Amino acid sequence: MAENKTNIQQLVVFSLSSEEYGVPITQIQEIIRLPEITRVPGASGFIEGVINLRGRIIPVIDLRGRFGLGRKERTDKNRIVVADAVGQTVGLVVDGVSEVLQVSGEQIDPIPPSLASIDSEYLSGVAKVGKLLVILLNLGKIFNDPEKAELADAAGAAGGGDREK
Amino acid sequence: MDESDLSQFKEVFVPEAREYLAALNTALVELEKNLANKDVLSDIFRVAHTLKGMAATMGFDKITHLTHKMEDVFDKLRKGEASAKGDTLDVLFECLDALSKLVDEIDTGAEAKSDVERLVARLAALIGEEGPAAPAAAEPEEPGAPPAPEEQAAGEERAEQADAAVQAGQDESASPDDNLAGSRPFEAPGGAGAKQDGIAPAAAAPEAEKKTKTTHVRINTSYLDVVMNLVGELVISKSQLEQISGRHKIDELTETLQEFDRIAIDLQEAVLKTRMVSVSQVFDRYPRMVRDLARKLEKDIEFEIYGADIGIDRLLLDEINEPLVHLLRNAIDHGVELPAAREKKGKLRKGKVTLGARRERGFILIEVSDDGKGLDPVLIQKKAVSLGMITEEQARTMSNEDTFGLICDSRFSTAETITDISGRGVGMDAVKTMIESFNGRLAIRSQKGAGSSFVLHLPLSLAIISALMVRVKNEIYAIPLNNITEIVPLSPDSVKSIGGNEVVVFRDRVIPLIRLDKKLGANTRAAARAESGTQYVLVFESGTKSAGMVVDNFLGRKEIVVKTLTGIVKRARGFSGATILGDGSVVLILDISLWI
Repeated sequence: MAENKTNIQQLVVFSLSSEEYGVPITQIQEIIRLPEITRVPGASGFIEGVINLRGRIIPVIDLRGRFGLGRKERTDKNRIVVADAVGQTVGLVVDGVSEVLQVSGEQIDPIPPSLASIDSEYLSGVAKVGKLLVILLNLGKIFNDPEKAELADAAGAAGGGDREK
Repeated sequence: MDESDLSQFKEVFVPEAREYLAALNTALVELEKNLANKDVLSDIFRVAHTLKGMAATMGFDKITHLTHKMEDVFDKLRKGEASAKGDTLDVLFECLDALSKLVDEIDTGAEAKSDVERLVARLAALIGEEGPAAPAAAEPEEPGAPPAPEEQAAGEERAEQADAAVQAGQDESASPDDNLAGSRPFEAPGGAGAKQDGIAPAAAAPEAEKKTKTTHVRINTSYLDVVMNLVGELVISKSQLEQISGRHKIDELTETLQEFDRIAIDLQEAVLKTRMVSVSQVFDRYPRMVRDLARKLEKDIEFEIYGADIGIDRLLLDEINEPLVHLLRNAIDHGVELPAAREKKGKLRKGKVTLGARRERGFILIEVSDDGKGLDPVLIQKKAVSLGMITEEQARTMSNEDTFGLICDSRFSTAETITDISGRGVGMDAVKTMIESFNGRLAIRSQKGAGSSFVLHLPLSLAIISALMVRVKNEIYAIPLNNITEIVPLSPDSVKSIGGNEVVVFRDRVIPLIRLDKKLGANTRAAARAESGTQYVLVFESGTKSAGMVVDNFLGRKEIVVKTLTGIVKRARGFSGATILGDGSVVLILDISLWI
């Protein structure tokens, strides 16, 4: 978000474990309660299953599992953030959605280099809002390369065109 | 006419021209049987004339030039001013091939390389115009000249229609890769009952077109898919409402919902109809193919088509062509004998190949039959035993139908000498695979010496199918009903083991047992209670392969709307799609052919 230093953007903030994450509101289609998730035997490990989103069947990814934050019993606080990632609509299971925040460019710092590892490619920065630390997520990078190849492949095979390339 | 104009017309012209060419091919084959048939000649003349007018208004000069000359020939033949000689039809068939090539060139945007002058000269020679004369001299009108006065109006109307991308009905002989081509005329409400499926056989196109000009419109198939999808939604939403209504028991609401239910069902049927197109679109491609092949193989064959007006799902239409071509080729090549051989057996010299469609109990049956030499069950069994596919023991008790099923096995098909023995088998495994890939089934009947019949059982629609809902542990899956031959309770002591694989003896046959819960990796802990109840075996048959699939319970039959899995989940093997139940939950549809 370095190029947006002075721009104000709106972030949808959700919680995972004890951390707060933010995604630009423009990348999010909607936020829904957790419906029944149908397991898809044989699908990639990071896919929890599929749900019915008003007649569309979309894959659901458990972000806790994705980020290695450990499993937790689902409650009625859980939400699915429906977002556009890697050219297709996916649902991301989060612990809860707290608020929509306005942050300006100068509130955003890069991830401290000492924390940055290969695994945290999908973290694009940290926003300090009052006492709150919001980790900015780059949805385009929440999948690793083999997974992305699979996604792009699947999107291409589904006739959705090769938007990623 | 500049380039942009051309490309705009192309989308309308190409599929329609192909349709007319298919009709001309069919009509010429008909004419060949009886050269004096004036009705057929008039039809041909009319179709050729329409094609010419269309090409002329759109500026496709070569097509105009050639069809114009063909029209001259047809006109002379029709008026009896010239008579068809032996090679007349050969030349005309060649012209159609050339036209079809020209249309392809327009379609692909390739440079028009085909030369029509040679054919035009040969046509001129046919009707006594001086052969060696320069083609242009033999041409009374300029190639791009307007059609004859009385037809001019029609021609102009066509151009207008083309402009608006609105066009008269019979536009179906489309190639599957063309976006527009797959579309079907949208039926005006009033027209629905008037004519079955709203489509006349292509040969009658020019006539029907006059009556139905304004009732058809070309629309992009993706719009139809959206409507279809929304209707599916409506049906789901409706059953949710019904559940709520069931809880509250308000009379007024119940009544309104019943009315709503009726409307929803009607709407669903109406929308399904928009996806239906008549099989004639595919059938029309075959008379010419059969004729050419019969000639090449020096066989005398009468080709009969019935039920060409039966409607099937547009998506299926693209799928059935290839299997049908295989089956027809087999019937001509390996089924029907040479005239002399037929005579020796006391049959008519002329063999008969029939292609037909009919509707039967929620299925569409498409049959390819011949009165040729038929299949020899004894020889097939011998071969199968020698290939190790079955034991001699099995062969003795095998029904004829099961025996014929053997020829669809890939091991059998690839055996080199098989055509010498049964006369079938080439590509039959491919045919069967193709048919099963769209939930169809192939049945083979044959009488040695008297002929064979191959019947494709196709679902009416790919969008809504009958499925059995089954429970596997705590999960629900849908299984297309046409895959299931029987459902029996599983008695634990009937399960035996062969080499570590579970089998069950069913009707004196040993069939492998598939535990769906294991295959699907279902959560076995969550449903320990299910263990106490009786489990069921669903018996599947797919040619020579059969299997029993163990499920915990079945929850009845349901008409389900099929939704395809896309994106990341598309990769999950073993499922042909998913559906949404009344409560909004998603249920996966098992693709049985991938499980056995």
